[in-house]
Amino acid sequence: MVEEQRLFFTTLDRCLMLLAMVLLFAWPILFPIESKYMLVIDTILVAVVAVMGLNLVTGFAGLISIGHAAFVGIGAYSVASFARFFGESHLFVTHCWPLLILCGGVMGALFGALVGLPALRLKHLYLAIATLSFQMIFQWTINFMDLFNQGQTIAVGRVVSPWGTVSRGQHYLFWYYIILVVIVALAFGMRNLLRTRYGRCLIAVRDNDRAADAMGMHPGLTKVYAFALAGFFAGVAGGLQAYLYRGVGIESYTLHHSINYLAMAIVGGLGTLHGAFWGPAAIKVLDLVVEGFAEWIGSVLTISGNLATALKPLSFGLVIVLFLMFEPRGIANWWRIACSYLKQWPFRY
Amino acid sequence: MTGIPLRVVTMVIAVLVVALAGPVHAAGKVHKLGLSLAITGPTSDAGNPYAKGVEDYFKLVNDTKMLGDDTIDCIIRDDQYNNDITKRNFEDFLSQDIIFYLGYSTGSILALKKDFEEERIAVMPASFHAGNTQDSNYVFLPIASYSAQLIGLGEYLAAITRRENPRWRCSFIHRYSVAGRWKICRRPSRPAWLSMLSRWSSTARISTTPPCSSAWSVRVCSSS
Repeated sequence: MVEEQRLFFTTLDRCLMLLAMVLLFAWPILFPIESKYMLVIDTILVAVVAVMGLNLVTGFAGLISIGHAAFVGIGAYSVASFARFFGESHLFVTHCWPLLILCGGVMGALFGALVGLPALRLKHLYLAIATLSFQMIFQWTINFMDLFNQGQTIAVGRVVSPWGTVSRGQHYLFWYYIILVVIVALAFGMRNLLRTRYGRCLIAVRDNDRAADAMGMHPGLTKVYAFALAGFFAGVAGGLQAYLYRGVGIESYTLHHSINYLAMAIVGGLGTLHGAFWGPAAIKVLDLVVEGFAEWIGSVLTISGNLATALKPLSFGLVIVLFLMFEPRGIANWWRIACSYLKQWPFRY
Repeated sequence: MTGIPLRVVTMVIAVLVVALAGPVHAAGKVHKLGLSLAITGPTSDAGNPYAKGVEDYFKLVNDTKMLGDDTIDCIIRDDQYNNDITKRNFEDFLSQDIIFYLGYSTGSILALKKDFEEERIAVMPASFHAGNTQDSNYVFLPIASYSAQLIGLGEYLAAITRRENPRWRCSFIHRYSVAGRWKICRRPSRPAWLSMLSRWSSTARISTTPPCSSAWSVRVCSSS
């Protein structure tokens, strides 16, 4: 049992992980890239944090959430509220940014627990509709409240690191490292959680909540804390996004984004930790490719056809359907097969 | 998004004025501009022809040598009416050393306002939301803002009705909502929540408060 619970099974596994970490931290220094590309990478990393949370609640606990962007938005608007209240360049906003990001996570967890309460009585589609309602309530609240500038952009100032104010040239690189550190910390935290009885409760409740109840677990509490955990991850992602984009507007936290996060989780592989890394990367890269193609089509064809506009949602939907049909375990399963093959190479089995 | 040809023309004229008013350029210089707009996506019905209009006009400028030997290279990118993509496009433009940015949506201009200030890039949006220019030194509206246009229209209507026939009554009431998503300064003095004529009056009084600068937030109401 103890052997099965180890983080790394062999020394080689440990070394490979260490090497991957070194590469992830070193490559931007060795091969500097332009800001526009760094922004794309940072956006993918923020989505990774959010999808890790969604994977906890949907993948591990089996609770469908289609209001995940609202939790991300709560984290972002927590930071933005401080910026609006104190001023975008107030010391509290520029210097205490780790605290504010954490505050975004806590707010996300609080609202997650609140939204998780219906999970005590609701299941499946009904629960999905409850989370959808939360998404709608969130959008309505932001759009109508003066505190949140009625959804218009609330600016967030540049942060100050121990080495001074992060300049425009360093901005995306700085946030790359910060988000990477957050991902590593949260990923190890999540991996460790899944080794504890609380983590195993999630899976047990997903598989059969009545059996879990009979075994002495508390399915209701487990569902609520699954939502709270997902909310925490999403809130942290929102806080990071607010600082990365240096502003918060409602356009980034709509139902469309919730569906997008769900698609990332499905494509990456529900119920796997590294699926949360593959999904956002795959969907964002697909977005970029289709964007380029749609732009070209849009410039060539007349607007009457409007094929270009339809191209992105079409390809997006098609990818999800294809994955659900042919690879429901997502890209994570391809990774598992590849690892398995490499470990046993040159032998077939 | 009506009146696009007018916008395109005014925008282009302003760009030319800016380009020509600067220091004398060396012969054959290429001036790079960036335009990010919705070629596809929710407002592509306006953005797509807008993009084609801008492309055609700068082709005309270059072909007919309006700037002498100098030419304009306008990089056009699709942002699908999405602020995050607009931000990426703007970073792309910066890496290509643009000297002027042509914007599109209100949301993206507001979202990027701080970047314009930091980069000191002159910007001309297609959205004439008056809030675009607030706390900004680099965003320019080529014509009157939506709010100013609405006030002008209200004043014109009031003047016309009084001149034509003193017995005619005119009331111009807009829906007191957050359609423009700008702060609501005060509640209407009487129920006027729906966009319908509520009552007639002999004179039209136009009231607006500086923060209420969006077209929808300018309140043109009838006096009692």
